[in-house]
Formats: sequence, C-alpha cells, structure tokens
Amino acid sequence: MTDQLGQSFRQARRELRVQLCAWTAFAIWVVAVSGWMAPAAESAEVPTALGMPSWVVWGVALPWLMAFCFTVWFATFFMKDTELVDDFSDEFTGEANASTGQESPA
Amino acid sequence: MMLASSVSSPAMVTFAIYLFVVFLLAWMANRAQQGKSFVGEYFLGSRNIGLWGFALTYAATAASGGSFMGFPSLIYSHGWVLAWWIAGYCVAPLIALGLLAKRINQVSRLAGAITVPELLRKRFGSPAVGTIATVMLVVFTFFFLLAQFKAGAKIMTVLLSDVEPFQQLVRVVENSISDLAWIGTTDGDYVLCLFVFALAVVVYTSYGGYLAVVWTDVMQGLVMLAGVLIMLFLALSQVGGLQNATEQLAKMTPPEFGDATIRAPSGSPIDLPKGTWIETESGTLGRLNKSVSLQDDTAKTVEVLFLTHDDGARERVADELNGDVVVSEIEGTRKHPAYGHNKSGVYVSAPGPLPHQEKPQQNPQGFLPITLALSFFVFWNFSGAGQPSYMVRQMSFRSTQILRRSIVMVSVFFGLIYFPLVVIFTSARILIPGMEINSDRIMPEMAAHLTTNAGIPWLAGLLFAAPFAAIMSSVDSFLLLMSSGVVRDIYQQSINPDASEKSLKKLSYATTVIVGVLAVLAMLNPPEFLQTLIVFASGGLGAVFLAPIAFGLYWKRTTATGVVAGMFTGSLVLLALYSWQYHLTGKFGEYNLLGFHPFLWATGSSALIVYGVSHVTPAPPTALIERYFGRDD
Repeated sequence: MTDQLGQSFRQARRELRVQLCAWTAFAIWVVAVSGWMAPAAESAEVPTALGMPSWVVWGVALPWLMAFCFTVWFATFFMKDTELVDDFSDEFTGEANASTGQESPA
Repeated sequence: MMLASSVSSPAMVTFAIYLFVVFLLAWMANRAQQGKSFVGEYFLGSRNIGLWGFALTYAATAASGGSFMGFPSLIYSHGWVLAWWIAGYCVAPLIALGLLAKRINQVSRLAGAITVPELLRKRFGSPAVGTIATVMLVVFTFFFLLAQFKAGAKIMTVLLSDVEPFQQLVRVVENSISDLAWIGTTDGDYVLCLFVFALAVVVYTSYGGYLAVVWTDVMQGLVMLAGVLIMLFLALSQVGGLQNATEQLAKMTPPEFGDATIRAPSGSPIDLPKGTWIETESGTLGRLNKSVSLQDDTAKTVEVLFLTHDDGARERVADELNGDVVVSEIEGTRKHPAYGHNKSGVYVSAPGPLPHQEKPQQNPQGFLPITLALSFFVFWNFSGAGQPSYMVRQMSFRSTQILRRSIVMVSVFFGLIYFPLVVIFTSARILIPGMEINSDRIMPEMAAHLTTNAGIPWLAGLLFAAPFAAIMSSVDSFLLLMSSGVVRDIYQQSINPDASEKSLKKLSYATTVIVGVLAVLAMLNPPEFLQTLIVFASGGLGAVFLAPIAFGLYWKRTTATGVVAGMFTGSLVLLALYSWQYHLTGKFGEYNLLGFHPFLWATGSSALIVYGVSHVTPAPPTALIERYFGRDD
C-alpha cells in the first residue's frame, strides 16, 4: 500500500508544479496586459473590440479562454487517476488511537 | 425604500416553487440518511459524492452572496475594471480545486478525518493543532455567515416589497424596534426578512445535513447558471447591445453626494421615501439618500445623490421624478469622489472610480491599481484553495476521475457566471441610474427591472432565485462546517468520545440553530459593504489554513509546532492590517501595505513561519510520514 501511496504522492507533486507554472503564466499575462492597456482607456472615446473595451478582450477574455483550454488539457490528459485508499474499516467512528498519529491496523 | 421596479405575483409563485423544491430535497436527504452512521453521513455524505454533486456543490458554494450581491454592487459602482478584479477566476478551478483536492481526499481517507481540523490533528498527531484550527475556523466562518445573512435578507426585501400583508408586518416591526439601541435605525423590512431567511436556511440545513446541502447545491447551481444567462440576454437586448453600452458608459462621470433643502410649496404633507428622484432648481437630477416627511411649507435639509452626467438618465427616470417639491442644492456640500471626479472613461478603464473618503489619501490611485489587481489574482485562487468549506468537499468525492471531470465542469460554470455578470452590471449603470444610494440591492433591482420591461414578470422569480440560491448554498455549507467543528472536533473528540448517535444528532441540530440565532442578532445592525466582510472572512480562512494544509500535504518535514505557529501568524497579520485601516479611517476595511492586499502578507508570513519553524523543530516520526506519504522516493 505504501508503494502505491508513494507513487500517488509523487504524481500529485508533479501535477502541483505544472499547476503553479500555469498560474504564474496566466497571472503575468492578465496583470501585465491589462495593467498596460487599461489605464490608457480612460477617455470618453474608448477603443473597443467585440463591443467591450479592447483591454478587456486582450487582458481578460482571451487569457480566460486560453486558461479554459489549458484546464481541459490538464484535467483530461496530464492528471492521472489514483486509487483512493480507505485505511480504516471503521472510518467514521472517531477511533481514539488515530489522534495520536500512530499506525493503526488497517 | 422606493424601488426602481417591483415584483409581481407570478414572480412570487416562481420563487415559492423554488423554495418548495429546496425543502423537498432536504426532506429526501433526511430520508436517505436513515439507518446510516450519523456523523459520517451527516457531515460528509459517506465520501460517496459523484460528478454532478461534487462539481456543482463546489461551484455553488464558491458562488456565494458575494458573487451575486457584493460583486454586482462593485461592478455597478466601478465599471469594467471589475473584469480585471475577477480575472483570477480563469484559473480558479485548476488552482482552488485542483491544487490540493487529490491529496486532501487521500490523506483524509487514510486519517479517517471528516473535518478539516480533524485532518490537521491526525496528520500531525497533535490534538492541540486540531483545537486551534477548530477555534479559528469557527471565528472566521462566522464572519462569512454574517455577510450571507445580510445578502439573503436584502433579496427578500425586494421580492416582498409590494406584498401588502408584508408591508403591514413591516410597519409593526418598525414601530416595535424604533426605540431599541442596536437596531433602531435599521429598516423594518430588512429585520423581518432576516428572521424569515434565517429560519428557512437553518431548518433545511439542520434537517438534511451534508447530503441535503449537496443536492440543493446541484439544483441551486443550475438555477444560478440559468438566471445569469437569461439576465445577460435581457440586459444586452434592453441596453441596445454591448457596443452601445460601452460607449454610453465611457461618457459617464461618477455621481456625487451632497446636501439640498427640500420643501413642498403646496403646504400639504408629503412623505418622500429614500430613493425618490428629484430635480433641483438648477436642473440637476438627484436621488434622495434618506426618507423625508414634509409637513408644511418649511424646508428640510436632506442628503441627495446628484448625477453629474445626464446622458439618457432623465428619460429613464421621467416617470419616477417627483415634481411636487422644490429642491435647492446647498453649495459647497458636494462630496467629490477620491478618484474619478469629472473624468470621462473612468468606468471603462483601470483603476476605476473611488468613492469619496472622509480622510483622503495623498495620491488616491483609484479602485484597482496594478498591485491590487495582482493581489486579487492571488487571492481568488489561493484563498479559494485555503477555504475549509471547499476542503471538506474535496474530502467527499468518490474517485479521482470525478475530480478531473469536475475541474472541467467548474471551469465552464465559472466562465459562464463571472464574465457575464460584468457585462450585465455594467449595463445596469445605464438601465438603472442612481443606485449608489444602495448599490448592494442592484442584483434584485436589475432582475425586477429586466423582466418587467420584457413583459415576463414571472421570470423575475427565477432571477431572484439565482442570487438567493447562491447565498443559501453558501450559508448551508458554512452552517454545517461550524456545526461539524463543534460536534466532531470539540465534543466528540475532546469531551465525549463515546457519545451516542442520538446525542450527536441533537447537538448538531442545536449548534446549527444557535449559530443561526447569533448570526441574526449580529446582523440586525448590518455593516455597509457586504463584499468587505466577505473578503475579510475568506481572506482570514485562507490565511489561517492554506499554508498549514498545503505544507502538511506536500512536505514531509512539516511539524505540528510549525503549523500552529503558521496559523497564528496568518490570522494575526491579517487582523493587524485590518485594525490598522480602522485606526486610520475609522471604517472596517483592509490596509493594503505597499499596495498589496492583507491576504498576501498574511498567507506569505504564515507560509514562511510554517517552513522556518518546521525546520528548527524535531522532525515528525517516520511512521507518521510513511502513513501519509508512502515510502521515500
């Protein structure tokens, strides 16, 4: 069981790294593009795209769409299934020894 | 308060049907739990939640009163900059849901934990960690609940505003409370609705438990989605298309509060409710910010919201304009916005307008400078990941296949909810001017306005149900979270481990009721801004729980002492920054040190402390590590 658990942990850690990299990339995109374009739109004649202020399209809507595509790829192809193991047979009875953190009979 | 629109009887029927279904689901959930272990079933649905249940209970809980009341209010007040403010939600399913879910589910199964404090206690083998986590969870969750109760009551006031028996009851309530110290100045309709809302949600939550919460969340999630998409279609068609709305918005300048004298030349008594539209002798349109009673020809002074840009507004409010009074603006009383005064384009750009401040800053940077935009990109994702209410859900899915599909489903849900809300409520600025007098009510006002204009009043019931569903689905989750904290983590673990099913059941019901009563008492005199309270509470929960849980799940060397130190540091830093803001301005709000939101400072400090203290304290036992991490790489 612990081998399987170790593999599951290492896979979860790999997924964590990819998730954090993706978050960083989208954060930079959204904050930089909107931060650059949005203040310049402070005018009665705002440039628009698709009916919205154009900074919203390039700095929010487009990264949102790309983030969705990435999420679908990540959840469908990159994330691996793991068997979720219940160690305790009397899981919901609040057994006292579990609170000590000691190994408990499976 | 005088409303822009009123709600019809068909709308009431639609809304009543929605409420009936909620109670029916709670009853069915209660029946389904018969004969099963009470605690595991009542608080976690026996860890057997499927795709629709998991995805929609997660999404519906995330979309709270903040999303449907506070967020629309902010969009209305600040414009398109809120698209930037909320943009972090584009990766929220990946981070807030995906970052910890697999490990939380696995570790909680291995530990036999059904609450977040219990997970921490067993993961670190330390009862102290569990107790501290329980106390912090209960305190911050209570603040979150308060905001939801206010939002629920506000929606009901709009829904019931035209029902005569309700108005008679309101008058009775107002007469009864007018002399009371704590609630004397609160609107009677709000007080009455607060009681009704609390009663409804406490009853169905305590009766149905986690399963009722999940089932109702599925239904409520679908109601929210349908409500937003219908509103989007109606708003765009009534505002003349998105391009037209953006162009009109670009010309707008922020309205300003100021004082005016008002009198009735006829001498006959006139009662003018809050929200009445007036026109000054110089031709400026305005809206009363307080009710006023004129008994004779004597002039009274009253605060008015003056429009500073009139494009189309005069035509829209023509039917509501009161021409029986003479209004003169008092020169020099205008409160100019801290940022955006007389600036065109301020509603379609960043940083967006900032309301008047009693103690103005030297160089006000507007609503959302770039540092705060970055803060919120962090906040929505990592504060989301750190919410115990979401963590509990992550303990309950059946398999990782369900998790993977749920991440995609929640991604679709958030995309179809949050971005359309920005479009809808930037349009609301054009369709319903002058709502700054009570912008927290813009969501129900807009629902009533759109459906009345479209000639489909029954639909207002469904649109009202959307924010109501968002609030109920959050309140029920948080009530259950607090109840599980008291029953499972304090009573069953520390006071009476051998408690019978019957006594646990009674205690769970009693805790839910007591929490509901306390929330009602606290919210009888509600704070002004809903979203401020929500951001404080969710920031607090994230600051307390994110770093300890994330380190505990992914770093073997994390120690109980490090986790306790991290939890205290997170909460203290957050409280210190809010307290400092209160000291500076006299108002409850966040102090953005170097322009960054307190959540970043609090969570960053907490993470550093967990890491540092864990390094200098003795390593955890090998058996404990192998139990939750398996063997070494």
